[in-house]
Amino acid sequence: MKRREALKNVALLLGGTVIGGSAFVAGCQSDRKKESQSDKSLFSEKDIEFMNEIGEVIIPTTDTPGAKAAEVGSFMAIMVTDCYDEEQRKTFVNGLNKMKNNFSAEYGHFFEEAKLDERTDYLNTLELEVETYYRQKKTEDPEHFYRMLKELTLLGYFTSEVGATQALNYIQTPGSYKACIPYEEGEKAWAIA
Amino acid sequence: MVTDLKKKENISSPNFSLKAEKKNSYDAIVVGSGITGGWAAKELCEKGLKTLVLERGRNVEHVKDYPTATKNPWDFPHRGRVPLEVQKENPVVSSCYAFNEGTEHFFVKDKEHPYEQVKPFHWIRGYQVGGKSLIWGRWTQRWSDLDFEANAKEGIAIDWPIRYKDIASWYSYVEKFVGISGNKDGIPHLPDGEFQPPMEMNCLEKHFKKSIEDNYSNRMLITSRTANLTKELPGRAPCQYRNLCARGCPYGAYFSSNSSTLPAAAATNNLTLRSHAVVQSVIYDEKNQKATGVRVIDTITKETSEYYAKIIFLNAGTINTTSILLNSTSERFPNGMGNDSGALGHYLMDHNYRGALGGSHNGFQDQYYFGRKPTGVYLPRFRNVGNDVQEDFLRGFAFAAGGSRRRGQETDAAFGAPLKEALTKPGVWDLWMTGMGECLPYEDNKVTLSKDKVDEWGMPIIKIDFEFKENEMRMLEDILSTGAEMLETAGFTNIEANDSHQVPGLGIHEMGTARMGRDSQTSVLNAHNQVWGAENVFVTDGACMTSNACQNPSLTYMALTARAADYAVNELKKQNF
Repeated sequence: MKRREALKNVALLLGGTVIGGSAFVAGCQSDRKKESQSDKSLFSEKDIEFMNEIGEVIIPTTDTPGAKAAEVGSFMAIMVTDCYDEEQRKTFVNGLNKMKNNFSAEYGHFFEEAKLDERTDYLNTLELEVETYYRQKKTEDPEHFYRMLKELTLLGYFTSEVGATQALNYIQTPGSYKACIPYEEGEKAWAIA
Repeated sequence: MVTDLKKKENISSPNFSLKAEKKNSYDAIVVGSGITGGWAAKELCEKGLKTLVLERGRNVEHVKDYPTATKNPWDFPHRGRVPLEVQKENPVVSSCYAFNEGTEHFFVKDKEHPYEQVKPFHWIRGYQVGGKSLIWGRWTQRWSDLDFEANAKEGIAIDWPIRYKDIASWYSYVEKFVGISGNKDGIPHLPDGEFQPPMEMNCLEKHFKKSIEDNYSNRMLITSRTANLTKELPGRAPCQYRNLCARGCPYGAYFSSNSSTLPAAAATNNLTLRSHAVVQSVIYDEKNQKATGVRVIDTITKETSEYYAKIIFLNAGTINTTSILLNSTSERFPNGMGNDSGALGHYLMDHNYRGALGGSHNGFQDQYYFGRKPTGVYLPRFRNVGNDVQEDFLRGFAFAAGGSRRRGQETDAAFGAPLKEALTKPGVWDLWMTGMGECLPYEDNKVTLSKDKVDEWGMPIIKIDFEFKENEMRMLEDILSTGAEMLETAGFTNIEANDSHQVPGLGIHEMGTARMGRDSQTSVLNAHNQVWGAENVFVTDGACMTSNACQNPSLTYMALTARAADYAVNELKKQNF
């Protein structure tokens, strides 16, 4: 991926511009017909495990726990079910299934059973695919499944207990305010700015 | 004094002949328990009046009824986001900036209380004890004569019947009790008040302040005066810097009716608070030419009842207060109580908050902050002030702004440990900025009652017909260009300056529709907030406003309420009601 594209994507992820944006921030004025959201079984336990494993490649365990420990799989299932519209849900679910099958076809086993270098190779391919997709994407085209998954991974991880309290710095009740303090290179960011 | 009043009541009031009426009789009735209803209740109770507060919503007890107040981000299944289904069912309230998974229980859902939008107008409401004082923005800047004199000087609408000198001491009075942190900045048109120590600006805000003040002789950037405590007050702890105010504060560190005025009122033993009681109309005694009470509908049983008092304060919230007056017809007032002028319902205003700006700053990489400050910085009005004269528009605007350091640094890594590492470090600084534009009072921006549709309780459906007009739109251009220029001058990058096209109403500063004035032929209320022709009825919420300045309005409503309550009790003592 070209540096500029990569930066742009990360900036999008950081800036809170999340797919299903209209669904994720208050202010959605969609006039689509009311859809049933009662179907809470879009994802099986196996799917959730799969999403955990993909998430773990995006945010791995290092000196702090990774996406799997943050249970980003369950988080994704909740968000896709409750906060995506029908088209976005379809994109996500189809994309997840396609990834599962494509991976197995290419490597001869499931993603969950694959070694890290296989997983990394595959995600690199997906990153390139996403980059090409967004370069050509027309406004009315759907979002790309992998971008949705990556956004949900980052959102889910950094708002989870392990993400906020271990990877980041979270104090529930600061109790005092210091407007300007020195920042030493390497110190963790606040979980909530 | 309580005894005196009681004696008088028993001798003189015609309302006390029936048993039922006696049971339902008080010295004063306050309709609404929000930011002004709470103040009316406190003042009237403390002055010895047995006071009934009627609230249409449910009870919300301070601390006990703040179910989300101490939750962490991960305690919310959607991490704060509101599910799509909720949003689709609530296009109005879900467009409010403060509506989220942690606060939604304090907002009226669209279907619960329908109204008609003649033109798009998002009416944000909080029907519960405490009203919107639980979820308000807490920015509290005083008005000055620049604001009170503007209508008269420019020949717009009608003159305010009061000036700054009439309200200055009342600003001080309420500020001391509310607890407002702020700095004495010595700005003539944004007068200093009774402040607790200010919350300090962070390094980006300080940089922006210096840049603005070095480059523009008529502009200042100050710490917003805010109703968050930096020092304790009786029963209330100072701010703990969680910045979760709209969920309700378990420390009582921001001002709300629930944390502050209602407990003070209750401490007198003069307060009776009835929730689930919506006021249908004010009862008018044609013979004695005064109001005698209110008709109430129990929102659960739908039973109607009447309550009686010598003084009635309407604090139902701008549009609801006016709808009560419009619905209070009698032989004397065929078009609504106090409406000899025909002005009732007209001259609705909201602030124009469509100017949305922001930028990033690459400096200050060696600086950070501790704690989450629940306020920001304020750039007081500089247009059409002093030597500044604008040809394109009347009045002016202020900016609200705030700086913070972004989480996450730029990286080439698309995933894996390097991405994780980069995203756990603080990145560049960001500053947001919102223009807060004054809106002129126009006769055709109005609230009316439906002639054929009623709500669940038999109350006519409210119709809101509002739009921003040319003056507001011209001002918006200046908001965007001056704001962007100041950001550029201060070295910001990725500057955004956009018209958000936010629907009117979302300033949540609806005001006017029962304006104060100097005579009954052009206004609904006099200089003491009394309804013309029914002088024992007072309106001291946003409905009373004759113009809307560009300051956040609640402080002014509170000062007007305390002033009117003092006047009302003095008049009662003189037996003028």
